[in-house]
Amino acid sequence: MRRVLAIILKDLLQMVRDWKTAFFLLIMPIVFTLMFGFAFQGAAGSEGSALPVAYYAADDGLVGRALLAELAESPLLELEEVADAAAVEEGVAGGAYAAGIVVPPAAAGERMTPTLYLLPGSSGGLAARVEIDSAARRVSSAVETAERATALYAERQPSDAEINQQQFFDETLSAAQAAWDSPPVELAVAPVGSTGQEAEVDESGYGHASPAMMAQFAIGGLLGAAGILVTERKSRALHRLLTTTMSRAELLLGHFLAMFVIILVQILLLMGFGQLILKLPYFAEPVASLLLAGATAFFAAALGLLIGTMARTEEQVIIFSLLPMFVLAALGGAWFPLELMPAGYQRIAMWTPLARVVEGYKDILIRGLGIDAVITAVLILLGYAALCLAIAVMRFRAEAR
Amino acid sequence: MKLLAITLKDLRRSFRSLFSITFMFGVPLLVTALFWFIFGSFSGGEEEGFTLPPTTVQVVNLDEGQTPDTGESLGAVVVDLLQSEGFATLMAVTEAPDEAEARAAVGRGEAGVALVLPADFTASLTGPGMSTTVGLYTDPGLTIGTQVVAAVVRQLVDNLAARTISAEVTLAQLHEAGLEPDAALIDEVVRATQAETAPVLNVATPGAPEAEGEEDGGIGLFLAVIMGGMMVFYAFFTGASAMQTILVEDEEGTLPRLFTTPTPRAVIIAGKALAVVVTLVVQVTVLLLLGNLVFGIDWGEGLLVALAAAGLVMVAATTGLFLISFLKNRRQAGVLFGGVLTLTGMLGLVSVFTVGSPQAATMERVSLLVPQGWAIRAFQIAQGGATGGDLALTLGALLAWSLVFAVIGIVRLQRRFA
Repeated sequence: MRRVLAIILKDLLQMVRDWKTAFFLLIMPIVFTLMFGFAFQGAAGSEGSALPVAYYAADDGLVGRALLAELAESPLLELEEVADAAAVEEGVAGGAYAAGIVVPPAAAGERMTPTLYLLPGSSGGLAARVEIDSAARRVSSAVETAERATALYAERQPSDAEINQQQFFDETLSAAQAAWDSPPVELAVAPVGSTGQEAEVDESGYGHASPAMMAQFAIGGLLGAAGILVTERKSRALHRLLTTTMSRAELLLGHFLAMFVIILVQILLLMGFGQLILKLPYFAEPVASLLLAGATAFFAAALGLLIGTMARTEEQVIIFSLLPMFVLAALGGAWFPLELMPAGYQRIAMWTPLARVVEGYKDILIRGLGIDAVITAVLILLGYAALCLAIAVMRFRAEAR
Repeated sequence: MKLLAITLKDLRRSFRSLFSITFMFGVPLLVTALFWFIFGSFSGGEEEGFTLPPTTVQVVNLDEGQTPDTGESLGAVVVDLLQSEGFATLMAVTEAPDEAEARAAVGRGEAGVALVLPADFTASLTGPGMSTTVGLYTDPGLTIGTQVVAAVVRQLVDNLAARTISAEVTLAQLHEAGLEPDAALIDEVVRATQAETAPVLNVATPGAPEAEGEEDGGIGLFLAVIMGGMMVFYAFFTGASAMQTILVEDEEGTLPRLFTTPTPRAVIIAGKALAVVVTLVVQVTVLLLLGNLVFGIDWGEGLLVALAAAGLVMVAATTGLFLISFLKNRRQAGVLFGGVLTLTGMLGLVSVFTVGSPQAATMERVSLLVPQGWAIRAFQIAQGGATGGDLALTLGALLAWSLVFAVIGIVRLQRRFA
């Protein structure tokens, strides 16, 4: 055991002394958590993070004016009038606006329908659409009400009527618009937590970004950690160690545990950062959080050992670390939440390790779930770790022979 | 001639390296293929485009009322509508016995949404002066799926409310105007409010034809964003990796030996730089072609794409020169690839991940802090995502980055090998 400890301490010392370790393990995930968290902040549209919407009306028609007035009152939308219809399309395509509205010129005797531009799959666009659709429906309903009522009034208008049809139309339109301020049925939307009681929704964006970047950079951190084995091999220190009484198992165990410790510390520090700075409830369910952290570190360390036994050069360490980092992060929903992906893929993704880490932490942080929610994730991560360890051991044995 | 010989030698080294090939072509194609596979195959094919998975909804219908004319429960009508084929791609609806059970199912993550229709639902929509609230309880871990359900329910509820409001307002206004509503008038008003209404919005993707209530698939646009981002990200790796031959030859001692030959140093460095440019041209051209041929990506108008590609090649090559001029040996290159290029690359890419979000404009400005952000912007312009005036600005910015990097890199290398 003393030998294993010596290897662990040597590796840890080597990693801690290298400033790159802190850079990859802590600085980069923190920077990207802040960046991605900010980027996804209020993506669903919320007060205080209004969605930018471009607006263009071809003329000063009734529907255009009513729609503009209705939309301007929405706290979820930040309306910006632009010069022409092309500017609306370009702005939406370029990502400057979550959505864009073009109100065509009103043709005599025809009801014109505004066009809503948005990018497929854009969460902001969808949120804006809900709000715009509702406003357009209310305006349309009010206009239709005024038109129908005026038609009836025209049919049955008393000969001594004091008000003309235009006045009747205007008053009915105002009354119909006012009626929408207190409709007979309203929809109340509220998020619920693990107990079924109302919960707070994560509008900060960090509830996804923090675990996502933590998972991604647990693998990114292997860049330095896995390189130690390669350095040992290149400097022949590994071969010299193999001539001593130290067993191969002890050697591998030492390297594996060193990586496990460093990644576990990385995750714990990032969880601490999330808890203290980002105000994410990582320790609301401490057992679940720690269990998932341990399993994540175990998997990452096993992958690191595999990379260390496979790579022959520093360049290969980079390829073998960055490739799984990018691929597993993309597949695991670290960049785009899994809920945006097709249902069939979601089922497959839940068998990939990083998806389990991200979703497991989201269960704890956002849904308020506990240990039951992360058990499957822990088992899957341990399964992957076992697979990586088995291959690493086989490769190391072959090499040692 | 000597310049070409040096260029060819470096090109051979670049294209024989597994590391270079992996980062030049392998990873960008792999990531794009993954997203193409995920969104193309699992969403039912490219024709169906970008579709969201259905959200699981548990409905609790507590409605006790009946409409006076047909005797039907409007709560039951809403449930039937939500369970109809028309909404099957958006939501999977089941009924729950009570509100507590439905909310608990959402809490456990078994359902995305719980919809509770209150006991006075029909009464509020048919009786005068009444109002009620429909409860929609959502999984806080989901965003888009729950918003879609909320949008659909809101639409249904608003449509029902519109009839009530329309009838009440019409009768009240007619009464105020001196027309006493009789049974015939009331009947006429109610029938009129139940007539089919015109669509309130046409929904369209920018640049695509309008379609009432339908959206363009958009998978091509999505893949273009992803692959464009990956291409830019890894072009910078290629620029630095290919330029690394200066370090390699310096370490191996071949560069100092070359410097003792009559070949001018400027020719030697220019030969190496040309190799980097050619490597980048090959990488960008191959990725653009494969993107178009394999994934059907429309990169935009030819000339604009060529200008964007030229800007990318220029800035990636000079960034490589700049970065390599600060490195002493190959060991330090690990920091370069894993750290500096990953950090700046992801900063540049951040605008790709936030298209359409409230922070899109801010994140685009953040991405322009690094040359990768400008390169991505150039390709977005080529795809028609910005005005013509932006093109000159973007190409000018790429040129400025390139000039600064080239001057600093050349000066540092000249001092180093003086």
